[in-house]
Amino acid sequence: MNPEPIVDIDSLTVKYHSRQGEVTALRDVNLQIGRGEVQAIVGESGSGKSTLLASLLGLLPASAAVEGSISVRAGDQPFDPVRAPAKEATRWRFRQVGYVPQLTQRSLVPVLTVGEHFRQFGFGSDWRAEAVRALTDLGLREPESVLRRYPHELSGGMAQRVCIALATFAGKPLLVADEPTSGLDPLVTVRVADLLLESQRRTQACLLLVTHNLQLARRMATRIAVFRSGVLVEHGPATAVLEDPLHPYTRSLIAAVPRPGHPLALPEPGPDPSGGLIEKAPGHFVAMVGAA
Amino acid sequence: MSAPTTVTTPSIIDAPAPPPKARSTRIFRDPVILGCLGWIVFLVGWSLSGLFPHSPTVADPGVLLHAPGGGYLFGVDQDGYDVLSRTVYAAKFDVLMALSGALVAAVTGTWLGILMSSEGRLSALATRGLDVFQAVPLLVVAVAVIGLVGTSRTILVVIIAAINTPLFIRLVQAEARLVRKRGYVAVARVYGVSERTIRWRHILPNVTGVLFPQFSLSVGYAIASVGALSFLGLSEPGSASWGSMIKAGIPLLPLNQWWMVVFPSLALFTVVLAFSELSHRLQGHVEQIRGGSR
Repeated sequence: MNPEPIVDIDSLTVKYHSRQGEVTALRDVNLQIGRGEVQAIVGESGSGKSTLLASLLGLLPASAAVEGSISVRAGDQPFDPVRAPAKEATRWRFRQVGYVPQLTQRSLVPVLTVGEHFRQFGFGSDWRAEAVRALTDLGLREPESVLRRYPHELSGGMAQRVCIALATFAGKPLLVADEPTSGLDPLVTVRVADLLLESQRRTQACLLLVTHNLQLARRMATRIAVFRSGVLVEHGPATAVLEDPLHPYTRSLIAAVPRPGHPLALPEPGPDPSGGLIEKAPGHFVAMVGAA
Repeated sequence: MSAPTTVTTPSIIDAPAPPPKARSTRIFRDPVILGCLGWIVFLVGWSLSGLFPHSPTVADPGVLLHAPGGGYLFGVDQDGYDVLSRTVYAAKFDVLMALSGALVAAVTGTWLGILMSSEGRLSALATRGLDVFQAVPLLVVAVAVIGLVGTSRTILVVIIAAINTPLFIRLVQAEARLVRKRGYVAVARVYGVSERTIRWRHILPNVTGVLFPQFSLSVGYAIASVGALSFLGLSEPGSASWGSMIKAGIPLLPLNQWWMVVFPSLALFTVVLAFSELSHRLQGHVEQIRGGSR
């Protein structure tokens, strides 16, 4: 049904072993994402979003046990990020993956200039020209002067654009956005969502958007996957999922977004699909990946 | 009734934001920091200059035990050395030895602390190993080692470094773990930036701030330790050091010949105090800078 699947997740189960015992973070997840698609992953904290992201990027902590497989065809040949050795996964991400973090200055290394970010995060000798083009495309005046600045010398709007430019400038085929707009006000959220979409359309990258913001998913996503307690409870075209949700949990998520004229009433989200298997969230993606 | 809502969003972002003032200049306006640094630099500088009122290395037997005054401001000791000249002369060894020991500790500790900041079995094991190492009373071991192989300045520097390295490891490890939880480390890792670059280009520059207070404190303690070791007679025989001067002067205290103990003690006390006060003040500034950047 998808045009050309870039990401193919096949019955993926991820468990963490800790001193407290075994925790299942993802259970039997099947998901395909095609070229040029924007796939939103929504769910509350502890639903397995971070683990899915870490699996896809080959950044699972050593304590994770994986069943099933992931295949990413974002290069010459398919790549399995959960099975590949760490060094190979690092090289693969360097060439194929653009990452859109939370869009603030804090996602930039405070001791490096913007230009050094492009040089370290990109490849090839032409990084400067490509960076200038990406920054110009995103509406930044005087991109050369932006490249010379340190993150604390950027305004909020400039930092957002720099982060988006970093993710998209090398034309990487897989884009991953992790709660990009958290902490931004609604107007700015809409603006950066549009900028991000524009960049994604230019490169025809496949964009995986992890968020708990349903409005953002509505604005950006072509398809939405709803996770709860490590289980993919609903997946389909964005409009279908949002207008006509099948799963009671999705209905309760949508109802939790306040709308004028509608009293905020939460429908029963249904039983926990993990059967109480998941007691503890493995933690936020940034902390999980940074500490490894 | 309601007016149509229009939203104008700027499509072009201009480049404003003047570079903010460097916060480091504030440190050099702090009078306590200036005073402490001034005293240390003055004493060590004088010691290195070689300009003493009398020779610190050639004794004059004609003026043994001369009381303070009359051309000998701090008096003369029982060997005929001018106490002022010898006290200043000793600063060179005591302070510089402590400085080099602390410097070795800071470099080694920072290196190991960053390596041990990632989560994993190896770094957990290394941290346990550090616990064991710190459970050893190093000053006692130092006395034993010096008893076995004799003493030298190198050995004293190694001992100072060994005592202080674990402190730097723990400090840097804790700080680097905090840095790793900030967004940019995860960002760099997702982008496939090598672990080496993340460690030395992203994390290291962000932990150096906490090193300065600890360094100053370590130097202060190290001077006190050198003082203690030379007081116990474990410094090079015949070399000038505050500890050995105090030791030599103590038998003469009951005879009211106090100057051989008081002046080296004052030097030791004020220099250690200067370093620890410097550390205290730097800590305040570092916390201010960190608070501002979060």
